Amino acid sequence: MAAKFIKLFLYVQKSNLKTAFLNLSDALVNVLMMMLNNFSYIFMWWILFQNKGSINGWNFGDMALLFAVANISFATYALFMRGLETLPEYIDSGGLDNFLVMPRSELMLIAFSESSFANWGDYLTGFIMYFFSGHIGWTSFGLLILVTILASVLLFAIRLLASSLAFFINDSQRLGDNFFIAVITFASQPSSIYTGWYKVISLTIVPAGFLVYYPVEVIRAFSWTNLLCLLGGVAIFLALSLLVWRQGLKHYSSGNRFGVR
Amino acid sequence: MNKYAALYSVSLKQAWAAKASLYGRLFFLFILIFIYNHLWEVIGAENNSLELNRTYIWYLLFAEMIILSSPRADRSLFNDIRDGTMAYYVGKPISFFLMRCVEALGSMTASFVLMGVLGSLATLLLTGEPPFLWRHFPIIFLMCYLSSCFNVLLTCAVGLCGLWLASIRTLSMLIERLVFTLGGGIFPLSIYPDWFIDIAKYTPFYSFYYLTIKLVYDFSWENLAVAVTLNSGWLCLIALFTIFAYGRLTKRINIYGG
Repeated sequence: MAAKFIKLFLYVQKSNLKTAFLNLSDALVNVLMMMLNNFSYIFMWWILFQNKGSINGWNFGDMALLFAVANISFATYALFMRGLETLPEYIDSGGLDNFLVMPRSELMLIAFSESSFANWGDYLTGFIMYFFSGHIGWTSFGLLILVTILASVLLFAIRLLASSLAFFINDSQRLGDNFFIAVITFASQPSSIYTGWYKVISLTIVPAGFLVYYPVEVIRAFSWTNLLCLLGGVAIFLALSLLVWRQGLKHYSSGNRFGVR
Repeated sequence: MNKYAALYSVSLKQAWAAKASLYGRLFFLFILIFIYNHLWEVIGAENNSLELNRTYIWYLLFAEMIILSSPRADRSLFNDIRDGTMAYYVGKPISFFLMRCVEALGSMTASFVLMGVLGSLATLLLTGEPPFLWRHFPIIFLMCYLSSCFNVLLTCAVGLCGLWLASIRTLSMLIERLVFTLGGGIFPLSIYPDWFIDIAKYTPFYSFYYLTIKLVYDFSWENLAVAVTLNSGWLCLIALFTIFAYGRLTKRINIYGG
């Protein structure tokens, strides 16, 4: 079962790469533009840290680590699971029917159905920022890989929750997009500012804390408690998103759309 | 002209009816205000400058009203060019480009007004008094609305770049980021070094966003006159580009589809 799944995953990724390489120069320009886009945002924060020195105990090195975690986990999500963003469209138009009759997991097929080559620029940005963070070492690199995999699973769960709104609310594409972007925006702030109620919100309604706060803390000063908190948060949100997805499927009535795939 | 007014009205009503979309934008706006209010509070407390969050949160509100209210006109125009929809409309007694622009303006207006009213109330609750005098509020609101219209035109111009590019996704994202950096979309340009402001001055983002939104905490008739003059100049340049690109596009329409 797992072998078949991996084989299908690799096949889809190979196809996505082939499609991107059809116009190699365009693909590379997009990667460069993505990096420019990321660094212009990072530049803004660099300026702020230049002016203020530190924010609640965080310096720019810590912020660089946050950018490394955020960019690498987002790249993993965008390259391998971005198809979830089109789920509301499939639900609204009845296009989901085509996936439901497939002999493989419909959720995985939808998730793999889209990939954006430009997001390789996020990987590059992430690794560059890691080297600027001042937390370099084999152990921290291993932890970086581990926590970004967990964070990308969390992104998958959050996007699935946002997209599954379409089962219950009409025309919810933009609502889901905004919820997802809100989480990413929340995650792009220095985690040191989240104390008190802000911390509660960042771990519940907008779970940005599990996306960056715990991953960054695990790398900065490893503790099993932080790693277990991260694992627990990811597991809870993944379970919740799969539950909502299952309930949504029960709620879903076909769009009676005729199509061949 | 009546047909464009009718399109504007229909689009505005459609946007008003799409409650889920409006609530999504409002949710994002509230999250932004909530996060950055706290960020500026923390920075203000560290620097003994408690007025910091009041000034910058009102600035952020107006900046986000301009940026968030704009619909994804670039993507819809790009798709229309690629899938042949434009070819279908090009023979109709209406300018396809103006039609899409006016539709986007209608949609933008609904979001802008709703975010303006509810966003101002939320910000007022968080900060108390705004940094401007209430008698200047209608002028600031109107100037920001005009900037939002320019933003829609800029977005449509990006959509027209589909004539030369296979995908406009990253170009759109890049423009968004330039709005945030060169236009001071999140942090006002006053915190940036002089050399950066000197570069920003040569871009439309400086006047469309920063100079206009700065009126929120630095209102003067002189600043208003500078913003109006520069915005008019950049508007002419962008309009010229769109006329040129649309002219080229209509000539190549037989290649792309129909």
